[in-house]
Amino acid sequence: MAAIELAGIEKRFGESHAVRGVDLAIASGEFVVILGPSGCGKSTLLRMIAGLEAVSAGTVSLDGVPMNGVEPGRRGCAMVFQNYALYPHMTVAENIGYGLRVAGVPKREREARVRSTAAMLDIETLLDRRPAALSGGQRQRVAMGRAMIRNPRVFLFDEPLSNLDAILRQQMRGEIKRLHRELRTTSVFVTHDQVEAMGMADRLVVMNAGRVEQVGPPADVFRRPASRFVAGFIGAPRMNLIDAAVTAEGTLAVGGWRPCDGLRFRAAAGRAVHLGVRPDALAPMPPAGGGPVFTADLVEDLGTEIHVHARGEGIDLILQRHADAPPIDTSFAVAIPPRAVHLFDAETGLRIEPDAAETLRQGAPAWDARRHSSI
Amino acid sequence: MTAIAEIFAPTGLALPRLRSAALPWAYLAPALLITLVWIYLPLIEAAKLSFYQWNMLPTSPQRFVGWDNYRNLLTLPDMSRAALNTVLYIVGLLPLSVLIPLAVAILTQDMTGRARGIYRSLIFVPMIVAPVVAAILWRWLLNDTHGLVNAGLEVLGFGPVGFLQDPDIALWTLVWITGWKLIGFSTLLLSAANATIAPSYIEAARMDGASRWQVIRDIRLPLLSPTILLLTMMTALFGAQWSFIYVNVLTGGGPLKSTTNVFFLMWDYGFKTLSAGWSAAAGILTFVTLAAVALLMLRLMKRLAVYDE
Ligand SMILES: Nc1ncnc2c1ncn2[C@@H]1O[C@H](COP(=O)(O)OP(=O)(O)O)[C@@H](O)[C@H]1O
Ligand SMILES: [Mg+2]
Repeated sequence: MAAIELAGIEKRFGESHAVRGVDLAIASGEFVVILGPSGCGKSTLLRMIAGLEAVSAGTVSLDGVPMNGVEPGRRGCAMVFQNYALYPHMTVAENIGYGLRVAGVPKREREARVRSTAAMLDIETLLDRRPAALSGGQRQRVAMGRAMIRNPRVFLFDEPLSNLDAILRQQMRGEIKRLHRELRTTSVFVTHDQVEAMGMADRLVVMNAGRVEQVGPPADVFRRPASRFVAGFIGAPRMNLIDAAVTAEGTLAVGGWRPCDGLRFRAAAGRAVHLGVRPDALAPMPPAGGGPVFTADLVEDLGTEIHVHARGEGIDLILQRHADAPPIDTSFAVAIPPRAVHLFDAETGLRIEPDAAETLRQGAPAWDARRHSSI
Repeated sequence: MTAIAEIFAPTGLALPRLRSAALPWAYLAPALLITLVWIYLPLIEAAKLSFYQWNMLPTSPQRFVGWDNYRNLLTLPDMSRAALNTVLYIVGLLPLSVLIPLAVAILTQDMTGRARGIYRSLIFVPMIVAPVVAAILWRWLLNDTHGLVNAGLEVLGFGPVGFLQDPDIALWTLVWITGWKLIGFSTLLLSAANATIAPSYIEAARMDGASRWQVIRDIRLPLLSPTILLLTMMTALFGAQWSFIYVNVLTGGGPLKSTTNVFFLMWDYGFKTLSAGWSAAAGILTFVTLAAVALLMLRLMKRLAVYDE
């Protein structure tokens, strides 16, 4: 039985359709991250799980019990808000203990539990302060404590780290994961930051425009993006997407250029597609054959890696190279390793897998579904 | 070279610095001047007058009487009656200027569209009616023989009530009229303050399991406390003063001095019996008392009010 089950969830705000049919099952103890651009409906979805927002259609179930219409306080969910929403007129101890107070827990027990929760989060010395006298990281911890103290079935996080500076964010990321490892509470974490998402998720849910684009372990989502949106959204620098067409033989054509001739795709001849290649998979080579010639337009040296923005014959590409790679020639062609190819239908945006049997028969390098998608 | 620069630098700098220091004062000057002319000079004048006997005629002499005015005032039954009534006015006004508006602001917070527009006009109309017009309106409504209110009471089986004639009731009638004018203003202030409470506090409390009432008690009221205390302080300081016009127009302090208060008393002494010294002494007494109340309440506000960041 899933800890959280969303079935056909929709949300309309008057004219605007914020969430458009989401089905998702989250297992007990799982740490799920919902990733998507700003405005795609992540917070709305989370708030519907919490009960702060009513669903327009569909069912939210927790531990198999439908929760539609159940008050937020009775769902057994705890939430950490983006701005923390600590009660400004209460001390840290009162903030953390408020949930117990309204639940009628006797004062003595309440104080003991506040103290032990604070100890877990290393904020025992702050208990008498008001939120105004705390730093961002400390507020974050208090908000965590307030969420933890009632031993909720589910933790809901709405971009809780986005108000912190980079160093603190990284540190809190680790702490939240460690807490999850200890408590094993089912968690749903919303973010628009892909590094945060990739680093924290057991399972990643990528959302776009109110819909779920892909669900899976972060590595799978990265290696086999299910749609052009996911391909372009995950990975930095962004995946190169080149307009191409499928030929009658099932190969790819970019104008007169036939990159990765060995690959075969089963798609209608002339079908418009996007050929995706991650910047680190592109290898520059001396211009030869019929391929387009690129010139480096802009070179960014980031210390650990070098990004080369190149353009040639109407195609813009980004190449990612090792910092110690030899300097790139002013004009060059590129080779696209077949294993690095991601293909997406231009119309539907959905992924098209290469035809394994055909590819093999054409004598392309040994092809293996898992390795194929490993770049 | 540097030595010369050092010698000359200060004078070179002094002028702009002087100018920039003077500039704020120049902007403030009109306001300060008006405050001085209309507040502080009269106050000093009143303080001086309170030690003199004078009948307000410019030609007649002012006679120094020391503390006599104060001594007489404090032994006069008039003054203690007025002082007690002033307290009654303030206490009576508090529910109308704070409690009811608070309840209205919180109960109507989720109202939208047409209902909101109607409720707002209903509650704000009294605020924009001119006080004298309001007074006359209420005199008609409350007339003991032809008034609408008494007609209504009669239908319900009650005898006519002398709203402005019965010494036990007249003060509360004036309190009601004064408060009726204030409800809109207070509701406006409290609604605005209520609307600025971040929704995420309420949501956090709901996640914590707080009921509707607990959210109001534990989140809204504390966050509204600066506005509540401000309104309480304003009522305590100005409430009786606000009722002056209705006392003057509707009852003239009667019947049997039951509706008089210190502000009406001052005016009565000053402009009816022309005893400027008594009036001034009453004014100074009121000023000192209210100043003490104001200081106390400011202290209290600092201690009790919680402010959102
Ligand atoms: N209370 C609301 N009223 C109207 N529209 C809303 C409301 N909340 C969110 N929306 C709209 O729903 C969409 C999704 O919002 P949200 O879930 O906050 O996005 P995200 O958290 O992914 O940035 C946005 O277009 C937003 O404008
Ligand atoms: Mg959001």
